[in-house]
Amino acid sequence: MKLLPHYFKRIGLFLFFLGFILALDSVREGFTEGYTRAEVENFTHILPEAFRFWGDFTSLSGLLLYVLSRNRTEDEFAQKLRYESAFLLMVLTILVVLILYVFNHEILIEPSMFLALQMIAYLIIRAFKRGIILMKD
Amino acid sequence: MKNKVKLNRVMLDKTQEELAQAIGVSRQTIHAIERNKFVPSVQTAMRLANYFKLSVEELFELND
Repeated sequence: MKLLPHYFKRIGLFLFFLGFILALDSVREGFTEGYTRAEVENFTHILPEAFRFWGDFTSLSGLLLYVLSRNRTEDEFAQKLRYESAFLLMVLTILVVLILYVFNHEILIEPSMFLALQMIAYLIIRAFKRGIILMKD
Repeated sequence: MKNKVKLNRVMLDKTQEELAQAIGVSRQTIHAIERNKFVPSVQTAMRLANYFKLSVEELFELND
């Protein structure tokens, strides 16, 4: 699989945190409303409304760049971890969606949020698997 | 699959990092191979065997 050069990891991280800052109002609002999405009165916006979209777009792009960039030394072990983590993520995603449907079949989640969570979960799973394999006896 | 990578590496007084650089893989890969957590490809197995001047069969053996 062709991947981006290693320095794209840094660019990806930079974009992710930049997007996080741009979407600060979304993050604040999300924390205030909670998952019930209750309307919050007197919510004061710090940044212009257009920043929300660009924040989402930038942080998702950053995560994508990070996920798609090579490790410093790219080899078969790194590829194996990547494929296994992607497979585990797919299974976990289906399980989580099934469980959420059991409890609430009208649950709503924004696609950008869903994808961001998936990519973050992928990175955690990969780091966790690497940590377990490389853990000293 | 069992292997004698660690034994041969220590006999040559090489670090995992040195072996990894010579073979063209990461140090983590050498660590995972030595701990039998990862079975390398034929290409990497042959490179390792060449490095230690052994045959692949001498370096790797199947479990019973």
